[in-house]
Amino acid sequence: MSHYPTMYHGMSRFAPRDPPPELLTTSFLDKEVLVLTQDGKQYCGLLCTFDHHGNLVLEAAFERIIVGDLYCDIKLDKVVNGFFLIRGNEVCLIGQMDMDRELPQHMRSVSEAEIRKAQKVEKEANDLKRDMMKRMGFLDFDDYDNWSPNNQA
Amino acid sequence: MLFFSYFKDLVGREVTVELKNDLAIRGTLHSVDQYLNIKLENTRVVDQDKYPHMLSVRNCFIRGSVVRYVLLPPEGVDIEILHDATRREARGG
Repeated sequence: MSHYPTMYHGMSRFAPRDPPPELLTTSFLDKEVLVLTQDGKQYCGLLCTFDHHGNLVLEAAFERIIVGDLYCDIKLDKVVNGFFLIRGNEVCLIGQMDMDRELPQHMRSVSEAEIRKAQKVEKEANDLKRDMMKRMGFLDFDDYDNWSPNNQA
Repeated sequence: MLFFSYFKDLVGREVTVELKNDLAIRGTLHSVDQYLNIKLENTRVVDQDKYPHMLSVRNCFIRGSVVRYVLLPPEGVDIEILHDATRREARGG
Protein backbone atom coordinates (compact mmCIF):
# COMPACT_ATOMS: atom_id res chain seq x y z
CA MET A 1 0.00 0.00 0.00
CA SER A 2 2.89 2.35 0.77
CA HIS A 3 4.00 2.73 -2.85
CA TYR A 4 1.27 5.28 -3.42
CA PRO A 5 2.45 8.86 -3.03
CA THR A 6 0.96 10.66 -0.06
CA MET A 7 -0.94 13.73 -1.20
CA TYR A 8 -1.27 15.42 2.13
CA HIS A 9 0.92 15.00 5.12
CA GLY A 10 -1.12 13.58 7.97
CA MET A 11 -4.15 13.16 5.76
CA SER A 12 -5.46 10.21 3.85
CA ARG A 13 -3.91 9.66 0.47
CA PHE A 14 -7.51 9.50 -0.70
CA ALA A 15 -8.10 13.08 0.35
CA PRO A 16 -9.72 15.12 -2.38
CA ARG A 17 -7.22 17.51 -3.91
CA ASP A 18 -9.24 20.54 -2.93
CA PRO A 19 -12.06 19.70 -0.56
CA PRO A 20 -14.99 22.06 -1.09
CA PRO A 21 -15.11 24.45 1.85
CA GLU A 22 -18.79 23.80 2.44
CA LEU A 23 -18.12 20.20 3.39
CA LEU A 24 -17.57 19.74 7.06
CA THR A 25 -16.29 16.19 7.00
CA THR A 26 -12.64 16.95 6.19
CA SER A 27 -11.60 16.59 9.82
CA PHE A 28 -12.97 13.02 9.85
CA LEU A 29 -10.64 11.85 7.07
CA ASP A 30 -8.56 8.83 8.06
CA LYS A 31 -10.47 8.60 11.34
CA GLU A 32 -12.66 5.83 12.66
CA VAL A 33 -16.25 6.89 11.95
CA LEU A 34 -19.75 5.61 12.53
CA VAL A 35 -22.20 6.21 9.69
CA LEU A 36 -25.93 6.00 10.25
CA THR A 37 -27.90 5.49 7.05
CA GLN A 38 -31.46 6.46 6.24
CA ASP A 39 -32.62 2.84 6.47
CA GLY A 40 -31.45 2.66 10.08
CA LYS A 41 -28.26 0.66 9.53
CA GLN A 42 -24.91 1.50 11.07
CA TYR A 43 -21.53 1.12 9.47
CA CYS A 44 -18.12 1.67 11.05
CA GLY A 45 -14.79 2.07 9.32
CA LEU A 46 -11.97 4.41 8.41
CA LEU A 47 -13.17 7.34 6.32
CA CYS A 48 -11.05 7.22 3.16
CA THR A 49 -12.64 9.85 1.04
CA PHE A 50 -15.79 11.74 0.22
CA ASP A 51 -17.02 14.03 -2.52
CA HIS A 52 -19.31 17.03 -2.73
CA HIS A 53 -22.40 14.79 -3.01
CA GLY A 54 -21.51 13.36 0.37
CA ASN A 55 -20.67 9.93 -1.07
CA LEU A 56 -18.29 8.21 1.33
CA VAL A 57 -15.73 5.44 1.04
CA LEU A 58 -14.97 3.51 4.21
CA GLU A 59 -11.97 1.23 4.66
CA ALA A 60 -12.09 -1.91 6.82
CA ALA A 61 -15.82 -1.35 7.12
CA PHE A 62 -18.19 -3.46 9.15
CA GLU A 63 -21.89 -3.27 9.83
CA ARG A 64 -22.94 -3.17 13.46
CA ILE A 65 -26.30 -4.65 14.37
CA ILE A 66 -27.72 -3.96 17.82
CA VAL A 67 -30.74 -5.73 19.24
CA GLY A 68 -31.45 -4.98 22.89
CA ASP A 69 -28.27 -5.82 24.81
CA LEU A 70 -26.78 -7.89 22.01
CA TYR A 71 -24.60 -6.66 19.23
CA CYS A 72 -22.72 -8.10 16.29
CA ASP A 73 -20.08 -6.62 14.01
CA ILE A 74 -20.40 -8.10 10.55
CA LYS A 75 -17.29 -7.68 8.44
CA LEU A 76 -17.99 -6.60 4.90
CA ASP A 77 -15.23 -8.84 3.56
CA LYS A 78 -17.15 -9.69 0.43
CA VAL A 79 -15.70 -6.45 -0.87
CA VAL A 80 -11.93 -6.19 -1.25
CA ASN A 81 -10.24 -5.19 2.01
CA GLY A 82 -13.59 -3.97 3.32
CA PHE A 83 -13.64 -0.94 1.03
CA PHE A 84 -17.20 0.21 1.00
CA LEU A 85 -18.93 3.10 -0.72
CA ILE A 86 -22.04 4.67 0.75
CA ARG A 87 -24.12 6.84 -1.52
CA GLY A 88 -24.43 10.38 -0.22
CA ASN A 89 -28.20 10.59 -0.17
CA GLU A 90 -28.40 7.50 2.06
CA VAL A 91 -26.19 9.06 4.74
CA CYS A 92 -27.94 10.34 7.82
CA LEU A 93 -25.14 11.07 10.25
CA ILE A 94 -21.37 10.68 10.42
CA GLY A 95 -19.88 10.47 13.89
CA GLN A 96 -16.24 10.36 14.85
CA MET A 97 -15.76 7.35 17.11
CA ASP A 98 -13.88 7.73 20.36
CA MET A 99 -12.30 4.33 20.89
CA ASP A 100 -12.04 4.78 24.68
CA ARG A 101 -15.78 4.99 24.92
CA GLU A 102 -17.14 1.96 23.16
CA LEU A 103 -20.50 0.32 23.75
CA PRO A 104 -21.86 0.07 27.33
CA GLN A 105 -20.38 -2.71 29.51
CA HIS A 106 -23.54 -4.77 29.73
CA MET A 107 -23.75 -5.28 25.98
CA ARG A 108 -22.67 -8.66 24.69
CA SER A 109 -21.14 -9.61 21.37
CA VAL A 110 -22.86 -12.53 19.66
CA SER A 111 -22.52 -14.40 16.38
CA GLU A 112 -24.20 -13.31 13.17
CA ALA A 113 -26.69 -16.20 13.33
CA GLU A 114 -27.72 -15.22 16.85
CA ILE A 115 -28.16 -11.53 16.01
CA ARG A 116 -30.24 -12.40 12.93
CA LYS A 117 -32.47 -14.55 15.15
CA ALA A 118 -32.80 -11.77 17.74
CA GLN A 119 -33.59 -9.32 14.92
CA LYS A 120 -36.34 -11.60 13.65
CA VAL A 121 -37.85 -12.02 17.12
CA GLU A 122 -37.79 -8.25 17.66
CA LYS A 123 -39.41 -7.63 14.29
CA GLU A 124 -42.16 -10.14 15.02
CA ALA A 125 -42.82 -8.56 18.43
CA ASN A 126 -43.04 -5.11 16.81
CA ASP A 127 -45.36 -6.39 14.08
CA LEU A 128 -47.61 -7.97 16.69
CA LYS A 129 -47.68 -4.78 18.72
CA ARG A 130 -48.53 -2.69 15.66
CA ASP A 131 -51.25 -5.15 14.69
CA MET A 132 -52.77 -4.99 18.20
CA MET A 133 -52.67 -1.20 18.16
CA LYS A 134 -54.43 -1.17 14.81
CA ARG A 135 -57.18 -3.52 15.96
CA MET A 136 -57.72 -1.52 19.13
CA GLY A 137 -57.42 1.82 17.46
CA PHE A 138 -60.56 3.05 19.19
CA LEU A 139 -58.72 3.04 22.53
CA ASP A 140 -56.62 6.04 23.36
CA PHE A 141 -53.38 4.40 24.40
CA ASP A 142 -51.87 7.53 25.90
CA ASP A 143 -54.69 7.61 28.41
CA TYR A 144 -54.72 3.86 28.73
CA ASP A 145 -51.13 3.84 30.03
CA ASN A 146 -51.95 6.35 32.74
CA TRP A 147 -55.18 4.69 33.73
CA SER A 148 -55.43 3.43 37.27
CA PRO A 149 -58.42 2.51 39.46
CA ASN A 150 -57.71 5.44 41.80
CA ASN A 151 -57.37 7.96 39.04
CA GLN A 152 -60.59 7.89 37.08
CA ALA A 153 -61.70 11.10 35.54
CA MET B 1 -29.38 32.39 2.57
CA LEU B 2 -31.11 33.82 5.63
CA PHE B 3 -30.98 30.62 7.63
CA PHE B 4 -27.44 29.90 6.57
CA SER B 5 -26.31 33.27 7.94
CA TYR B 6 -28.51 32.77 10.95
CA PHE B 7 -26.96 29.42 11.81
CA LYS B 8 -23.50 30.85 11.25
CA ASP B 9 -24.28 33.34 14.01
CA LEU B 10 -25.25 30.50 16.31
CA VAL B 11 -21.85 28.78 16.01
CA GLY B 12 -20.45 27.97 19.43
CA ARG B 13 -23.83 27.73 21.10
CA GLU B 14 -25.52 24.67 22.50
CA VAL B 15 -28.31 23.32 20.29
CA THR B 16 -30.42 20.18 20.12
CA VAL B 17 -30.93 18.64 16.71
CA GLU B 18 -33.76 16.20 16.18
CA LEU B 19 -33.48 13.95 13.16
CA LYS B 20 -36.24 12.41 11.08
CA ASN B 21 -35.45 9.02 12.63
CA ASP B 22 -36.35 10.49 16.07
CA LEU B 23 -32.75 10.57 17.25
CA ALA B 24 -32.20 13.79 19.23
CA ILE B 25 -28.63 15.00 19.69
CA ARG B 26 -27.46 17.84 21.88
CA GLY B 27 -24.13 19.48 21.27
CA THR B 28 -22.16 22.62 20.55
CA LEU B 29 -22.70 23.92 17.03
CA HIS B 30 -19.28 23.77 15.38
CA SER B 31 -20.12 24.72 11.82
CA VAL B 32 -22.81 24.77 9.22
CA ASP B 33 -22.77 24.89 5.41
CA GLN B 34 -25.06 26.07 2.62
CA TYR B 35 -27.09 22.83 2.67
CA LEU B 36 -27.61 23.35 6.41
CA ASN B 37 -25.51 20.30 7.09
CA ILE B 38 -24.57 20.64 10.72
CA LYS B 39 -21.45 19.70 12.61
CA LEU B 40 -21.76 19.30 16.37
CA GLU B 41 -19.10 18.88 19.02
CA ASN B 42 -19.29 17.38 22.50
CA THR B 43 -22.44 15.60 21.49
CA ARG B 44 -24.69 13.55 23.69
CA VAL B 45 -27.81 11.75 22.70
CA VAL B 46 -30.91 12.80 24.59
CA ASP B 47 -32.23 9.24 24.97
CA GLN B 48 -28.92 7.46 25.58
CA ASP B 49 -30.42 4.10 26.62
CA LYS B 50 -32.27 3.76 23.35
CA TYR B 51 -29.24 4.54 21.20
CA PRO B 52 -26.24 2.80 22.84
CA HIS B 53 -24.20 2.92 19.62
CA MET B 54 -23.96 6.69 19.86
CA LEU B 55 -22.03 6.53 23.15
CA SER B 56 -18.67 6.54 21.41
CA VAL B 57 -19.49 9.52 19.22
CA ARG B 58 -18.22 12.90 20.44
CA ASN B 59 -18.21 14.93 17.23
CA CYS B 60 -20.65 14.37 14.45
CA PHE B 61 -21.72 15.59 11.06
CA ILE B 62 -25.45 15.61 10.34
CA ARG B 63 -26.76 15.73 6.80
CA GLY B 64 -29.07 18.71 6.43
CA SER B 65 -31.79 16.74 4.67
CA VAL B 66 -32.41 14.45 7.67
CA VAL B 67 -32.90 17.22 10.21
CA ARG B 68 -36.44 17.61 11.50
CA TYR B 69 -35.95 20.30 14.16
CA VAL B 70 -33.19 22.38 15.61
CA LEU B 71 -33.92 23.53 19.16
CA LEU B 72 -32.22 26.88 19.67
CA PRO B 73 -30.92 28.53 22.81
CA PRO B 74 -33.23 31.43 23.77
CA GLU B 75 -30.29 33.82 24.21
CA GLY B 76 -29.19 33.12 20.63
CA VAL B 77 -32.43 34.39 19.12
CA ASP B 78 -32.92 38.10 18.49
CA ILE B 79 -36.38 38.61 17.06
CA GLU B 80 -35.68 42.18 15.88
CA ILE B 81 -32.69 41.17 13.78
CA LEU B 82 -34.65 38.23 12.35
CA HIS B 83 -37.55 40.50 11.41
CA ASP B 84 -35.23 42.91 9.63
CA ALA B 85 -33.42 40.12 7.83
CA THR B 86 -36.74 38.61 6.71
CA ARG B 87 -37.95 41.94 5.31
CA ARG B 88 -34.67 42.46 3.51
CA GLU B 89 -34.86 38.94 2.05
CA ALA B 90 -38.47 39.50 0.96
CA ARG B 91 -37.47 42.69 -0.84
CA GLY B 92 -34.88 40.66 -2.66
CA GLY B 93 -31.88 42.50 -1.28
